[in-house]
Amino acid sequence: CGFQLRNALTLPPDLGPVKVVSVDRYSPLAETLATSLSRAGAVPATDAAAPAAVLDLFSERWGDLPIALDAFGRSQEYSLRYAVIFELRRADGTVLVPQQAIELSRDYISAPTNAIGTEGEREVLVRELRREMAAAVLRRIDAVVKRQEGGAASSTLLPVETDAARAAMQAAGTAPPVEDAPPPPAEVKP
Amino acid sequence: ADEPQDWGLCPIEDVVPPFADAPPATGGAALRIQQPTDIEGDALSANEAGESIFRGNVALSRGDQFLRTDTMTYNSETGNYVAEGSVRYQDSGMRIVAERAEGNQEADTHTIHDLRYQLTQRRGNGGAERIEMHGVKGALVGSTYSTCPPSERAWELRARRIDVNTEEGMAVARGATLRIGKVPVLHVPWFMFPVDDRRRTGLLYPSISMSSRNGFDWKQPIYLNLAPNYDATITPRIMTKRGGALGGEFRWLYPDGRGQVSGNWLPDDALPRNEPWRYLNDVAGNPIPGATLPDKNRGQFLLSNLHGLGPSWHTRADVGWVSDTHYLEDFSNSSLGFSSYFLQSTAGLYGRGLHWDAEISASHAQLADYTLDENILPYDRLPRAALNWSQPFARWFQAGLSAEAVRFQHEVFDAGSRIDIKPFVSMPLEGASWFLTPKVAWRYTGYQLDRDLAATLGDRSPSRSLPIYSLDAGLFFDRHTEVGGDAYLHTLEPRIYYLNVPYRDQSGLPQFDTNPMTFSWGQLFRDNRYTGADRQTDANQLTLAVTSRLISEEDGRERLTASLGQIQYYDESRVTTPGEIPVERGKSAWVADIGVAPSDRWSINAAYQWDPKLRGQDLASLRARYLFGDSGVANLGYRYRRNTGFRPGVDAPDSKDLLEQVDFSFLYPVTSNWSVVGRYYYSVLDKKELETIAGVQWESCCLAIRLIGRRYVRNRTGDLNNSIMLEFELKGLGSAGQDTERILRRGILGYERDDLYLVPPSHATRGSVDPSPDPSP
Amino acid sequence: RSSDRNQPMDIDAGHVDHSLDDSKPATLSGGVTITQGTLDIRASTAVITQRGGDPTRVLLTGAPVTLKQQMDDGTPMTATANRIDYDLTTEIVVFTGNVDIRQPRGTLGGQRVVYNMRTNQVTGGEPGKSRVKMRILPRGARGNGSGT
Repeated sequence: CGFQLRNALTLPPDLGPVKVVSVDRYSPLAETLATSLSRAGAVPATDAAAPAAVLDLFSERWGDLPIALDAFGRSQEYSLRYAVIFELRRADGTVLVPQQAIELSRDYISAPTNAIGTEGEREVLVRELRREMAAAVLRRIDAVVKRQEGGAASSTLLPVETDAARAAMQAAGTAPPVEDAPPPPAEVKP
Repeated sequence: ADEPQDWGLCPIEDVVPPFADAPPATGGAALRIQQPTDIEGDALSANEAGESIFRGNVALSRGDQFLRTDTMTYNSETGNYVAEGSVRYQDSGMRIVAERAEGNQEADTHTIHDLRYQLTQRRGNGGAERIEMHGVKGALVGSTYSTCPPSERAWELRARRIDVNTEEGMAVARGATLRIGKVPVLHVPWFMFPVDDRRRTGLLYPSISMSSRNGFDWKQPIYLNLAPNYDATITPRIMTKRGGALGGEFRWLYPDGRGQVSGNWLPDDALPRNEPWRYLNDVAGNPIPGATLPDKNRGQFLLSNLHGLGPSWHTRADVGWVSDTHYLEDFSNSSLGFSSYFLQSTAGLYGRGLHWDAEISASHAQLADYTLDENILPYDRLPRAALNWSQPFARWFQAGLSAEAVRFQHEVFDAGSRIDIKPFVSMPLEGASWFLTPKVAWRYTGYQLDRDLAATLGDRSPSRSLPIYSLDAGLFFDRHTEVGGDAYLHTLEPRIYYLNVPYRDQSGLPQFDTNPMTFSWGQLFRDNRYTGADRQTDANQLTLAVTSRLISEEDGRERLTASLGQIQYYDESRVTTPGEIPVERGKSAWVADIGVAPSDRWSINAAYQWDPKLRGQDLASLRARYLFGDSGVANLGYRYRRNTGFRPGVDAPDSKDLLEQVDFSFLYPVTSNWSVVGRYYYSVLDKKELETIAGVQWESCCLAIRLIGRRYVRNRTGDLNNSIMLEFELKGLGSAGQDTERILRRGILGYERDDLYLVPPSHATRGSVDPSPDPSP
Repeated sequence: RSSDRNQPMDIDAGHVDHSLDDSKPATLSGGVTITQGTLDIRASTAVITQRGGDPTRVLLTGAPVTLKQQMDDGTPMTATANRIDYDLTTEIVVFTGNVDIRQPRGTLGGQRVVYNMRTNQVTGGEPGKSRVKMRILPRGARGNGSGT
């Protein structure tokens, strides 16, 4: 049925050094993406002045919304949502992956009479959403890059190791970033 | 602060069209005195008093001022001038058309008679019998002000006198009558309003509303622009039926961080005395022993701040406090909202590096819901120290450790302290399109319990230690396909996850922060069924799962994601929390998730869980959202959840289902002026509408009128309350009536496009990191 | 200054075409300088009509003609124009052609300006043909004399 084993993400050789820029100084997503891009063969841009390809995270936003109220108006189920808007530009500023938004969400129960543990579950979900977001961003880069080079797996490309989405899962796994962007808010969610 | 007004619906016509022949304005009002005055005319002559008389489309310009008239008499000695005949005046602040004007250039004073004006730095126009200007100050006598175009005077402020100070950007109207259409709606002896958008100390728009509970409710926020990087808002409030209140908010920003503290204080609230039964009786109506009326010193306090300590470390605090458990309900439109039941405050030092992250924090929960009592509160963690470290080593391996030490405390129960250490080694083997990750971890958890808890559990320092073996493996297939003429990358990603954890009797361990997690797609690949370290599930299980995606190759957007998975339990999982039924051998529920986004306007997410043993569904959830136009939205949601913890014969029969709800909400722009909003949120289980909203909104260039009918759960006894809200928003002047926007933003997700986080990529603004996870204000 | 009129008038020119009687006006050319008290006129040519030995009208042309004089309040006035017609009997001076009159208080420009020396009054402009422009300097900038 046409399926064949995927070949790895191969960044265009002329991409040059890549740097991941985020609005949030402490963005764990930026770090995870930087690690997985370097695992996928990109050269991390060290010298700030030199022109480099930019993976630009315009906005990272968390949201924790009650999606189900009980008969007394108390929230009993929440949806943790994480949305990122990103763009990948080449060193000369032209766009490689157009600006777009990815929105992921996970639902979790928080029964009013048994709220122990919801804090813990929320932290686990934050970690998983971060990993999933990193993989999602890289999948999109992979799809666009593959189309750019017409899918021709030519040997001249960088000898590149694994599938970057997988690398992202790895990278995220190694340094599960402390949950700092969504600070545990006062457990009061209007 | 309210966002900048959207004048999109306004005709492009200017009340006073710009003067084509005006020279480019140089400098502002303050610089005028230092600039030469040029007068030009067809003919110059002199009168007996020695004043020069210019005739024939005379033009006078100085700095940013420009005056055009038919004749101008100018006394160069004194600087006095008189202009007559189709006078047109323009400066950096306004444009005026009149019949006659006189003034003195030296003193920069001008008086213009029966004029029409238009503000240029912001929307606003009108007329006046006379305007007296002196430098940056101007006084309009017998004048009108509105942001509506003359052709469609939806509202107008008529004032005996308006003093405008363009430098301060404020205007004070005296003897003002506000007319909506032809109807005088409000007479205000004294009224101050800003004439530009900059931050300056002064009154913000008052919010006035009426309700059966508060009576006449007047909130007058006063903004204090203390410094470029910190400011404050003080909000005195009068509620005729309850008393006075003082709200305040202080915000600060500095290179290393930012913070905000806000509070509300009622020295004496009459509401408890008005409705004592709500405080003295329980939900069923019988008196609560020892209950008191919380009518003195009620209030709320919120602090949140973030402080960076160099590249790796930062501190963060989010602290909240309410005076009593009825506070949230009695102030249901407070920013804390109504659907939460306890306030979790945390503060800590957080650090992160390439291979590690660490935290030292404290957290405390305060009860904020009178239908519950303290025993539902999570344990306080005073303090909690946690470290996660993981690093690749020796080419093939990855090693690491996650450790946590916590001192638990609780207002009702005895507690103790716990240490949990989980070192692990894994071998992440990967090829181009496959991965295989065996992982071995050892988990040791030890306690030091307080005396009474130790007595009930039998051991003062119980502990548990066990190995955790897991194997995560997967393959990646993809192919190029075409769907509807577009090129897509179609992927197929099978994945297996094997988990083996020996059984350890954990009945002697306390339950501080542990509960089974919601069964979901993520749960298929976790090495513990519980959050928290008090329970580590025993397992001999294999997860089989597959994910397939359709990714547009043109722009990388994921148009379809479908995944299906199930766990095969080879052994029964005997570890449980108190009152939980063990997981039997055999198959878990099927977990299916589907996400479809055929275009940027559609987003459909469905989740379904089917339990083969019970031949029933555990979860059926559908959430569809359609964005139409540039402001319309429609959400449809159906949600059913079975109570997976239901024990037949033990639990009440009607608690078999956890929830079954339907939620339909929309904002439909009928025309550019008319739009309809609505929400129908019905709980099938309780056979009761939780919230219904029906509203219509008429919006024109300068006036927005919203009429909202709402029926919602008002208090914890669940009885519904009807409320009709009418709001007039005089764009550029303020709004009168209840604040409907907050309610609509919470009721209809997407009413404010930014709340969707899918801020249309076109104008995603930098710096829109919104650390607070709560979307609605 | 109004006292200039009682001062002797000196006229100096490169070339003079002069007739003894008053029948034909004298024509001076080759650079003419006329001074009378604080009045100082420089032109390329001048035609002076006289009656009874006294000059009654001076018609000056130049590229441009410059006329300097000190006002009664001591402030200097400098005027330039292509053609200046100075009628001594009525004391009215008519400037025509790129007129530019500078005083510490400001400047006045146009194609035709009439200056009445007795009343210090200035009128100007030819409706429909040319406009008159006046610039009044701000208070601060006035002290620095004429040549702004």
